[in-house]
Amino acid sequence: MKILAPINSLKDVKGVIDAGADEIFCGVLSHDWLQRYTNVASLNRREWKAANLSSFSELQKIVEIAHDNNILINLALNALYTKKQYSLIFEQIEQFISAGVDALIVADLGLLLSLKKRKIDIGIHISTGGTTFNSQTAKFYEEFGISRIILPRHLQIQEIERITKNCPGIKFEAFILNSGCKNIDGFCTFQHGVNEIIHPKAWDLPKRLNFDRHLLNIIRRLPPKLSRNIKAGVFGIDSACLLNYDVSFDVAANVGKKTSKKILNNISSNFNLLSGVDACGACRLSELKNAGIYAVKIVGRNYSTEKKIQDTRFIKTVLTHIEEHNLTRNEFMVFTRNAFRQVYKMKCAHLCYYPDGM
Amino acid sequence: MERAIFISNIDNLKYVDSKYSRLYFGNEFCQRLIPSLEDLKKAAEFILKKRMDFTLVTPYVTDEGLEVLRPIAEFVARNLPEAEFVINDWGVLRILRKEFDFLKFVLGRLLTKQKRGPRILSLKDKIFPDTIRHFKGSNIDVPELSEFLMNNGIVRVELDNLLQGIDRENPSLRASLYIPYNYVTTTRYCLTAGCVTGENHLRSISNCNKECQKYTFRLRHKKMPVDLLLKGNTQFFKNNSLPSNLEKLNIDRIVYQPEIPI
Repeated sequence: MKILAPINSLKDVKGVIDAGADEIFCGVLSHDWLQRYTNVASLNRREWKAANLSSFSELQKIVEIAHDNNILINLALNALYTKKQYSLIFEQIEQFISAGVDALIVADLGLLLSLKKRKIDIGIHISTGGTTFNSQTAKFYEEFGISRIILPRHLQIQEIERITKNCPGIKFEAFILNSGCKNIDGFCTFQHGVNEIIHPKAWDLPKRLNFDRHLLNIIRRLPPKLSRNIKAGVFGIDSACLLNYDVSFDVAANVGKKTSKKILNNISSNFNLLSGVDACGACRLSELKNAGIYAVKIVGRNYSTEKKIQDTRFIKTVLTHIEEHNLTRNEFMVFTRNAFRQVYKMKCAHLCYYPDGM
Repeated sequence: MERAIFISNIDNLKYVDSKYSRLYFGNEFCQRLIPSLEDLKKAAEFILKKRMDFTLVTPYVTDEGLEVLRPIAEFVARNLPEAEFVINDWGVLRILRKEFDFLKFVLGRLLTKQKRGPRILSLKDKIFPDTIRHFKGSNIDVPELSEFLMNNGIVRVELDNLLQGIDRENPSLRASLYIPYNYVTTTRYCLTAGCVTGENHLRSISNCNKECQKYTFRLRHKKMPVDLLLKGNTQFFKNNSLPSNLEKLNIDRIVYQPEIPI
């Protein structure tokens, strides 16, 4: 099973490769793109400038290092585009190709068709934004000659297995660490990176310094009763899915006052900052491998180099252990949770990528 | 202008009157809410009696959901061959096209890729005209995609009524416009399931007691320019004002939702 590590800078590359990455992925938000479309209409599904490379020359250097180490590099081109954007998109694609990237990660069927029409010879990975929830959708994409499908976060392992078994000709990739979005990536239409436009100075530097991750790390160390009551808005983290909404019934509910209050509290508790905490699926790696997953992806392009190396090393340690030992499911889970505690110096918070069957 | 009414619950046939010439029935967002064959038969009897046209709305599905859809599709293909199928899953299109290529397919809201997030309203004065135009558009008018859709049995596309307005340049596919409810985001980690017992978890496909059929919630926050409405696993906003240039946008059908179609 391969490990994909995220990068947003040249300085990440050697570290994640040494830590065990088999492939790396990144995105580029060039000056030309930002001048016309801003970060909220990003070229890929990471709308923060801090999550992206800003130049093709840096991309080229990254590709050189990756290829010198026999590491593949995949480039995220997984936003959803409108007609007017295509000339600039293809200008950018030419630069990605001349930089030497190995595959494009694509979500938009319009772009996939345009790449095929122009006979652009490069690997194509269907993004999680391609919403492959069943075998027929996988076969639909297979007919376009794609080389890999990245599955949605919201599939259960048994559902994943059904897809992989029905589609033996496709390589599948699954998420394993960080950014466990609660909404379905390919169906979510909230804008991200809004703060970067409204408060550019106050936002970009904290994002680059990983302020949000440090904050989430503090929250995940708190007792669940407390951490579930911390709302996003109070810290300036304002993704629409995390805002501390005032929740009321739109239509009066036919329930008593006490039940009504309980229901509203329960709904309200969905919108806490904890739900943005980085999810982990490491203790299901063995099952994902058995389910036919070819590669696992560590999310978090905007995280610090140190965190990326730490994450890659953690997943590599767990995968190596699978290969070297024949453990039961429970033994493997105990090993993984211990490894988690050793690497991250905190207990696994049970914020699972694959909570089914846990 | 064709007028259609969209219901997801058979009891809501009560909203259908002579203003509407087409009934939409089904749902887009949850395979647990695919109509039963029994309810589908009631809807079919109703439209035949009222001489209405029929559109079956289908959600995105897992392989398990595909099996649930199969008898529904077979019933419609056999008994209502003129019906339309709204598709929100490329796999559903693939399999139905193989088995029932005579059916008419419609590209659903989950696949028409509009930029629905209301916070674009807060950015209107801060972003470039090209960006605003992008947020009014959708990928369906990219020629390569339009051509593919038309070659694959798609006869129209379903659009939400965006708060920032809609922009289509030389649109080749006819479109329907949904009012007043517009979807923004959806999840399989249903925010409503378990809301009475408190059994809902942050990240799980929870046991479902069909709480979505009982409760609708209003979500209000100063950073969100309009209130969001949460029903079941999906969030919506409401927009009642119709664009003035429907003809230019190639919109020839209004799909009215008397209730949020969950």
